[in-house]
Amino acid sequence: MIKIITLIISDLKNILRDKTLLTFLTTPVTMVLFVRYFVPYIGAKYPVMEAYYPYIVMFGSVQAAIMFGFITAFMILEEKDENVLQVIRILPITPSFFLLYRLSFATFLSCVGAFAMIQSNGLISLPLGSALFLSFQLGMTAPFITLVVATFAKNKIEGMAFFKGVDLLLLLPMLSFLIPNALKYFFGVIPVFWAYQLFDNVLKGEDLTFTFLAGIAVYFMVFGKLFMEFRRRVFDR
Amino acid sequence: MIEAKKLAYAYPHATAKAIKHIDFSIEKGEVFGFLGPSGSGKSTTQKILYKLLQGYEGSIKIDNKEVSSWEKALYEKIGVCFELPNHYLKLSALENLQFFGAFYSQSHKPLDLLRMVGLEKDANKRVSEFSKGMKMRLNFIRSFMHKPDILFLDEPTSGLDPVNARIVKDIIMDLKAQGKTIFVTTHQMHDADEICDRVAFIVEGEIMAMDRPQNLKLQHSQRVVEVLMKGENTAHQFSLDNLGNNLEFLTLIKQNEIASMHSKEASLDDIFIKVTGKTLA
Repeated sequence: MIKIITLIISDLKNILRDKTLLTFLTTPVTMVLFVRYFVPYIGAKYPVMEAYYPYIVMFGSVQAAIMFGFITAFMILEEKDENVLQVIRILPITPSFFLLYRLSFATFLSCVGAFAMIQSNGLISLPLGSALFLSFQLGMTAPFITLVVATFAKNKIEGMAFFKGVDLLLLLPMLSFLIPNALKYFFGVIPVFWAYQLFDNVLKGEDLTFTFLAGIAVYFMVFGKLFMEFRRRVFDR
Repeated sequence: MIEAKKLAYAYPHATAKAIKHIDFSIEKGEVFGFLGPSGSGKSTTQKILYKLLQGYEGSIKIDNKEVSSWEKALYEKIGVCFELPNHYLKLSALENLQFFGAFYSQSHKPLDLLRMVGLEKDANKRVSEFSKGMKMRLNFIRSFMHKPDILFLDEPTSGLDPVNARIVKDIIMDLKAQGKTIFVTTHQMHDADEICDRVAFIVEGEIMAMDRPQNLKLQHSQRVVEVLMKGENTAHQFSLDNLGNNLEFLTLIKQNEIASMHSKEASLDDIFIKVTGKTLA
């Protein structure tokens, strides 16, 4: 437990003392405020927007959730840049312990960010239980991003490029709403697709079981592969 | 305490081996130096020992247990001082030590360690504001903060001014006096001569010589003394054998004023070049 508390305290210090990470950290709050106060203002001027409120909230929830993935990814990239990972490798903890902590940290904050957006958006109202399921699934985007960026970006500069690329990738499944038939499931290989689908299920009052479980399954398959890649390319290098 | 037999290692995708079937052993409480130029295999050998590199050939044991069989408990037993600084730059020196110390079952007080290397006044300064020498001193004290039995020091005096290099060498000798086993890699021959009980010369992954520095110097020295008299430009040379009965020598030093007198003892640098045919650049 002491190890976890130590990691959390030093991670928070590292985030609060870095301007880029601090910006990432405040982004979900800014987005919640934007969606809650600015979007209705625009909606009042252009009523046609009201039909798109659910999609705006979907987009906002994903954006609020992914920021914590980038924060964690950038912390790992900094550890890579400064060779701190080398020191972590010779600590009496396993790589799994370290990575599991980091991913749980990102997932937790990500869930909180998504939940804040879902519950405080002021545009659409969702039942608490559904909001929790949705937040959990959206929270899974954080470890996904952490693993992708920290594994494949060589340094923080490349990390920024990945940040933009992955952000676009995560928006791509929104196109599935334009595809009326089963072809939309091609987007299912991008894990966040299942979070969008879950959102849609909640809005339509449909059963969540299949989409929720399918999403979790896809996430864990992707995590398994990415975790092995992370160990091979970053931790055991 | 550490024993390598026919140890060999090749980096992935490399055609040649970085370490070529070397043998060495290090006793408890010994300071053992691996001396060689950059790329000779010094750091590779150390990295195999602390499991940053895996898939070696031959055998290498710590406390009679094959390195590949050690789990995470190994890192309570050993401490590593890396060649380059590696700290959380946005944390202070004290926060860095507290962070890493939290993962071990025992630890020295961070402030006591910082005091040892003259960093107590900078304890709360962020490491990003440190000079390279300060970062290296922080690297050094972090390596033994958890009271390990074995220390791996990779170029421990690199980037340090003479005063701080002296402090670090004195601490190494203190750790030796406490019974710690210390494996140093360096290309600073003078430092090795000063702190190591035994040294090995390693070039292109092979050990070319291994002995006590004093023995190496005796084996490779010329048994002569050179005497330069005041007002003269050329030194007189005498054999050390039976020097006390050498009338020419005795007369010379009785009748003239000596400007300088040196035995022709070889330095480790000279011996390294002689044995390996390489320089330490």
